[in-house]
Amino acid sequence: MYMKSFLSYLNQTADLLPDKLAFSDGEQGLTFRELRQAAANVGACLRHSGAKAEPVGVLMERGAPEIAAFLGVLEAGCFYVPLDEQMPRERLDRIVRTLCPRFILTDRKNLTAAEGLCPAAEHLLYTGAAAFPGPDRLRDESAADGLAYVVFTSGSTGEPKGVSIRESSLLDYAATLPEALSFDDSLIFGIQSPLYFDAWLKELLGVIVKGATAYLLPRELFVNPVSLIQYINERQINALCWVSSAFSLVSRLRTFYAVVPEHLKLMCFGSEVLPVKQLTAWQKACPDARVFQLYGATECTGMSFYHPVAGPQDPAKPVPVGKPFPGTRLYLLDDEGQPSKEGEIVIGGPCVMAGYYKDPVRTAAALIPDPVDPEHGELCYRTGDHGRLDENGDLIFVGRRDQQIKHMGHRVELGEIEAAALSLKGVHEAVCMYVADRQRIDLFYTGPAQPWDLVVGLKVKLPGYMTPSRTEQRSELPHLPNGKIDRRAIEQKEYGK
Amino acid sequence: MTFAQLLDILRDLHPDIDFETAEGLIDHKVLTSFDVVSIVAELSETYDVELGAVDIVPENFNSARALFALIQRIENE
Repeated sequence: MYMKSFLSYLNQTADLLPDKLAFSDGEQGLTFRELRQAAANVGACLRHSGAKAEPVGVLMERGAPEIAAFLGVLEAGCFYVPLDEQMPRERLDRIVRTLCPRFILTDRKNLTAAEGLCPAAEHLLYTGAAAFPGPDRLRDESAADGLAYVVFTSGSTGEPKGVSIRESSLLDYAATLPEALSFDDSLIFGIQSPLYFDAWLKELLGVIVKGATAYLLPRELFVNPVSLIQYINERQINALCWVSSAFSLVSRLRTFYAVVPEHLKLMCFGSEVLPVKQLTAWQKACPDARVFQLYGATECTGMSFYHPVAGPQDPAKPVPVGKPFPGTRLYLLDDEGQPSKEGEIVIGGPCVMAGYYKDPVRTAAALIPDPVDPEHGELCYRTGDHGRLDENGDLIFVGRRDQQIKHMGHRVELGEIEAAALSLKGVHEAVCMYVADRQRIDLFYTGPAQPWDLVVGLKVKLPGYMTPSRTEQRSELPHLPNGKIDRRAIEQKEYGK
Repeated sequence: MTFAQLLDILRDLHPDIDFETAEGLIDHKVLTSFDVVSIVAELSETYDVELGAVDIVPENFNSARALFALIQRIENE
């Protein structure tokens, strides 16, 4: 059914299943009726405060209320920008500087931090906003195709990029992903990802569009995989859309010798390649689960490709990332920019972002005219990923064309880590290497600073998943004739490759 | 394996932590779930110490001493 507004889905589902649990974080749960009412109230409160088609920062603890806050921002015709309490201060400062939000939604726990971060903004406490007398339905009209959200990802220069997604892109995602993956209201999701990226939108769509239920899995359970699976079993969680490294983590720790997920019907993994050995371990533990490999980019509203994985996989062959959702176009461009059977993956369609927030230069580098119909086509996104088509016409992900990596499910520009290291005193040159088989980031540098100075200095500047595992001082680093650091020589010298 | 070898594995992950004295490594989020995977893999690949799924609980990873006690139990089995 065609919807004009993303929030219409919640209206419809809350009419059908008002008392069903929508989201729970273990402490607080919201039924569909409660979720809709909370979002309507937050939206009314924001409108009453004068917010209109502008960014609203959300700095709250990961939980069901945070989701209601995001939806409330949409209800007000504004766009939400997740600010996470776990982000390092310097990164938050940069984001707020780019954004200059007039309004920040926060909770008691984060109020002081929110005030320190952005003293000029108006700080609205969620508990107050959710109690504001709002209408009992959400808007059914689209907000003139404004933005829905901005999420910040790693940028190679050290300045995070604010990926700006339109409401129409979110609406397109809602119309395609739940159908492609056959979501229905019998699903109970266990959300692994943080809410400050876009990965959890898959579960959001399952809940809002199809009437499923989702639990936010406590992060600490991932250091205790047996308890994690027990938690999943106790709540009859039957659908997991996780980053590949989270699936790997559970199976590599031999969890299935002690306990297996009893109810699993659906498994979607994306963001990284899942090693066939780990995939097989999950398939054996959960023989009844449908399995999908997903692929996409934050710049294209999350996932754009899917591939049903059936039966045992050949360890010698890569698992395809498959075919695009309806309405999404794929081009593979060779080095001359001509469509080919192998080359840079370029994605077109309603999923493509509006741009990087207040960053026309980097937007122009990422968005290009439609390669086949440059005059009439819309802008397409250059992923920087390299792909090819297999004999079935399925897309195979080959690798990256630059220094961007996927580490523990997060997108990381090695250049951003290098830029952060170079901003520290006593660091002359710095180079980051990713050791893929050990999932480790190594940093080599020259200069008088001690490794410990870098370890401490980088912790303040970078999120935890971006801090190097090894920091090593060198008297010199090898260079190419053009003056650039010779990464291949370092690879040979340090890793014997 | 020796306690010093275990300290080497841990220092490789977090050179800024004094693992001889640090407590509450999991409770204070010094070690992440992915660190735990790295440690378990390293113990298995380099030292042939196979931790079971039920051994992977916060209590066993909260300090280097606790983890070493677990390793010794496994080695003596």
